[in-house]
Amino acid sequence: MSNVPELTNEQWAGLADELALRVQHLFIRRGWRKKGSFKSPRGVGVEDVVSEAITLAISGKRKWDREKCPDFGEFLNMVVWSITGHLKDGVSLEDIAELSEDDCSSVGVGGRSGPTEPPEIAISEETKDMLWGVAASDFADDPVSMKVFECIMAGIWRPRDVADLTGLSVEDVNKARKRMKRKADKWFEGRPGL
Amino acid sequence: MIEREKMDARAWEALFNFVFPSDAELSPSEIQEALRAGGVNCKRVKERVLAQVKAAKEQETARAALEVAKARRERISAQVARFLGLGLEKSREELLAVIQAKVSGEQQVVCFNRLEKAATDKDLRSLLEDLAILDAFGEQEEQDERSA
Repeated sequence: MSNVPELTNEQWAGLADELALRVQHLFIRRGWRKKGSFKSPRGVGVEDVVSEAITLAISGKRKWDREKCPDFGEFLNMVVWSITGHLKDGVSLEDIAELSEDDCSSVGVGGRSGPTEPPEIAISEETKDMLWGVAASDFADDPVSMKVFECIMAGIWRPRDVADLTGLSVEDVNKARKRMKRKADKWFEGRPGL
Repeated sequence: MIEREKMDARAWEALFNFVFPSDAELSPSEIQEALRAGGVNCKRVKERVLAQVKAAKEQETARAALEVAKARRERISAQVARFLGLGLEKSREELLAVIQAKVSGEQQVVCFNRLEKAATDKDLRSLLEDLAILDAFGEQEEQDERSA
């Protein structure tokens, strides 16, 4: 276990959840959905990607450089980003481990040192349709959501910032946020995917 | 009226981030709720990861045990070579002294008997090998006691 930090089972479990959510968001961005759950076009699921990332990290096939990226979670974030990129290119999950290493020091950081975030994945048209449907149906009915959406149009989305700009309470902004999330979940439920 | 055509890349990013909060913005229970809503089995994810970690730890322990066994074997081999290096021409008096110094109790009696009955070089060689092994084990036990 020299390739990964000393973590308790509880910490590993928390990390697994966080990583799974990141993978889920990557899948949503790409519009990957199959038979009612988030899956790549070849049927690789969120759990599989999380599991593969942990395997690659433990085995050292994706080497965690503690100096360049002290946060192990951030490193894993880059590993799952890289895995989903390979899946998009049609590489099977089994073959990804054999590809040359693309670790913390080389994933999307352009030679910079220090912790970095991988570049955002472009949002697919299908996902944009979903987001638009969710948002439009919400702001059409509710003046609070309309104000929120005006901020979003300007690229401002953090509830605290939206509240400051609109004069709404953070609580009201968060309510609008949760409502939209529920609508997104319903949208997914109604569309089982390919 | 807001039109979709007016949404630029930054607005789409903002909308995505607003609707799908990152793990940094959520509590552990909210993260699990978001995963469940997306059809992800949180329990299974955790079980898989913990099983992977457990397997890796077990492998590491087994590797460490193997390393210890390998080092022990190498030490014994070196000891045997050293004893054999004493030469078969060693006098019986010298061998008696070695037996007295290196082994005790029942094992000593057995060694004396074997030395007495040793008629060939093969017998002597076998005795020297056994003495070397007994000596190496004796050293190992001392080391274990010290480290304990």
